[in-house]
Amino acid sequence: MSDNETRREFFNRTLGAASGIALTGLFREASAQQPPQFCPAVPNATAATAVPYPGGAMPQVAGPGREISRGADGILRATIAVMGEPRSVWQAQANTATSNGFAIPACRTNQDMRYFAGYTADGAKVWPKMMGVPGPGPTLRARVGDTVQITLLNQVDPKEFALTLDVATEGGGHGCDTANTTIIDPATNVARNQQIYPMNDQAPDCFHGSSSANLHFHGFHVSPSTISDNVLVQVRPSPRDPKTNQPIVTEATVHAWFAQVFDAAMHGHGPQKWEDLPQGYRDLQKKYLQEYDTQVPGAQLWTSDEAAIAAGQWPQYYVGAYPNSFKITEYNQALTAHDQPLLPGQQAPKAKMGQAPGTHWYHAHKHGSTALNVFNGMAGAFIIEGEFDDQLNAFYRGKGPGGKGLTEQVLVIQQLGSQLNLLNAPQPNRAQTGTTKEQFVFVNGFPQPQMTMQPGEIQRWRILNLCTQVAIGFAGFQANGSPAPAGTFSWKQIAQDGVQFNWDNYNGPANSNPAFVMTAANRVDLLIQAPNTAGNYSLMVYHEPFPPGFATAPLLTIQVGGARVTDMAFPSEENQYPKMPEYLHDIDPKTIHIHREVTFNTEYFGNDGRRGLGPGRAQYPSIKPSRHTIDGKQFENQIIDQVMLLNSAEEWTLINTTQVNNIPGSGGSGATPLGYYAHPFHIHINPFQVIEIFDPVTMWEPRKFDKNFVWYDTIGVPPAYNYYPDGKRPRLDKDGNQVFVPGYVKMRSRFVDFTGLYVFHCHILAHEDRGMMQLVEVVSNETIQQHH
Amino acid sequence: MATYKINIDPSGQSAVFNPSTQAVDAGDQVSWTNNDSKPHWPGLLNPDGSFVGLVDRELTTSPPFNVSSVWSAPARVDSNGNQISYTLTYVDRYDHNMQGIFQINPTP
Repeated sequence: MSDNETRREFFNRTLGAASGIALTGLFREASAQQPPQFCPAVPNATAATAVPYPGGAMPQVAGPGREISRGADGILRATIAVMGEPRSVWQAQANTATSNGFAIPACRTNQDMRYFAGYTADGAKVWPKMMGVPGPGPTLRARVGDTVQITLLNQVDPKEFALTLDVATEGGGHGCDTANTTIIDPATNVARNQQIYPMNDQAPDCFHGSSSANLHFHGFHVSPSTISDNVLVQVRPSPRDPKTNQPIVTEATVHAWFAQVFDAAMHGHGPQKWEDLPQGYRDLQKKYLQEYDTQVPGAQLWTSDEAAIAAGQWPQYYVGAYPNSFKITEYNQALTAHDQPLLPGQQAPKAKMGQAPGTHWYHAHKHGSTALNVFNGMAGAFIIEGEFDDQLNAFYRGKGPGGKGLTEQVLVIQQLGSQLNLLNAPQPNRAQTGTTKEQFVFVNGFPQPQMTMQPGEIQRWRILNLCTQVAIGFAGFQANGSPAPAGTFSWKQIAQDGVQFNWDNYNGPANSNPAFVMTAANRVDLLIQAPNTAGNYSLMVYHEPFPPGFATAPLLTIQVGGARVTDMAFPSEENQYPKMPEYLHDIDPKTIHIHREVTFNTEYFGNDGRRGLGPGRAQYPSIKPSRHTIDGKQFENQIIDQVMLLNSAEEWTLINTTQVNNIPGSGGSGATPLGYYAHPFHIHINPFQVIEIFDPVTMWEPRKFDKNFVWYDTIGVPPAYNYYPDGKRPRLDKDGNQVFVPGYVKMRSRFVDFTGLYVFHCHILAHEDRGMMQLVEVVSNETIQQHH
Repeated sequence: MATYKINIDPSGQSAVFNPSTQAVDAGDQVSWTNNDSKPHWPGLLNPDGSFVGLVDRELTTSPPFNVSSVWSAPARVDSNGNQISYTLTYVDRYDHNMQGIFQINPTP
């Protein structure tokens, strides 16, 4: 940090650069069909004609006409198309700051971004409602036990996105996206080329192939294989008609074939191998994959698929369209051969774990492009309803404004932008550029939107942190610009990561207006009651990787007005609160037979390119991005790092040795931790219960839970710190040397119901793309072999 | 930051950068798409006549390498370290008469 650089600027420069994420954002609400390639004159723009502006009315992303819901037959049918267009986006301006230190937004046009368009079974387009501005994908809604049938179309035009095909992964180069800039000597005017990216990143752990796509169903307890929650699949963009430039593979192309696949899967006979797919679809895929291999030097997509097919494995590469289908797992109901391969003569087992009804989500999850695609907005809410909702809604039936019961708000928090900042030119002399951006976040595509409640009204908020990087810490409310007096708003958390709280956790003293942090990918459900006093209130948040309690900014504002609601209260008796189902009870420690440790680490490099303290890439031109590892290594193709036994329970210790840098205190003041990088651990398919956590930045001792464990599917693993929480006492080893003490989380999980390959990873998605991921496999211990 | 696309379109016996002049901010990303029947490679000419590509490789006449990788516009700073506006003229490696211009402005 230089003498004339403020602490805030230092944060911006170092932290913004560390992850590869352009920390910008903002979007939505335009006119009819054509993208509005202009930005509004803030604040006079109207929602009907321009890009939404800070403080405008919050658009809804759920409800009739705005979501794709299950049919009366218990089937959710949807088509999700990956598309692209130039969009207008609000971004944080470098070198600007409001009074609370957050950058002032500016609207920029010409942001090439991909997005999810949503269509119902009859082909009606549901989402997006407005073009030319970014935001989440369509909200999906189903019930436990329903069947999900999604046609994924990839209709991105690769010409619109600079060399983002996977041209190199299969042999066409170093395998990574490439960015260059030019250095011109001002004295001699001699220019030279300077590579910005990939530098020392190497395939497959680099940004690449962002025009490919797939779907991950985050928080779902379903099969990771074949056409279910299979993130190893990669769907290339459809070829385009040379005359019209329109995609050749459309929903109509695959409709009949996918109808066969969906019908078979629904009846327990979903595809287990390539030959189970319809002949026409297989022929089409073979044709286009072979064409792709011919077109792209070194590409071997069909060759790779052929090898997988010959080995009896599920092929990974597809073009244009892919069917996703699964049944939302219902506890104690029979699994099918589609869910889980059965041995000859074996009876279908009953599910040992049910899908928790709750607030879940879906997003693109192709390794190397997850960060950019989610940053573009390729993520959306997926709400699963069930007994929990039925019981909660029954409690509020006939109450509230107009007797309509409990109003639900789906609040999708996102970072939104078109570029990853590791591909932007850093500048000499620390000139501020795109690498120095604030953590600008949007709610339902809107910057600091405004919503309304009536005095005394209770609503259910489904909050989803779908940011690519930042954690959101809730820091209470302000009233008309000043800290709101205690009791203005009241709230209780009712679910974490889509899994309900039990009565004890709901009713405990810690759940009275709890302060909570949502790391990237976390969801929190709240019952929140508006104050009896009308007025404008702001929900304040802080953003990690700033340390806890750092400067706050409004996430959204709530205009409280209208008639006072007098008949709504929180459930106060156990029989008023939804019952915790058996499958969500605490995991019995006596069932744990295997303990594992996995260690997350980020390695930084200083200006001279050597390892050093502090996040961020070195100064230009000595650019060397940080390196993100698990157990000392980056993700490797074709290597399974952890193998778990089907239907077993394990205890894992998740360790984070990433060192928090700090500014030493002076005059008796404590050191200030910088770059609070809690790596968010996320594992697919099976949620887990947290039993112990230690954050050396904020805790003197580990916090242990003895019962009523909370379920998560993503948890921030705190970083290592070399001071005690007061920032004054250094942490010392036995020899008296100051040492970094790692943060950790202990969790228990059951690997039940589904075998197969899947992943766990850091949910700072640029870290995942750049190697902080492991492949795991759950295997069965059953065999047809006998020994007489 | 913004993203800009520049087309290389056929024009008579030659080709042109389209648009021929593009205003960008330092840090913005630029890519080129070759729609011509000949390969092209945008870059700078040094005072000694040597060619410095703005992107890694020439643009071929067919996908996928008819679309370039990213070039990010560098800032220029004055003696105080403040960014200043400047103009950068680039050419095609194979036809130096084929020119394009960037008007590069300070990062907003």
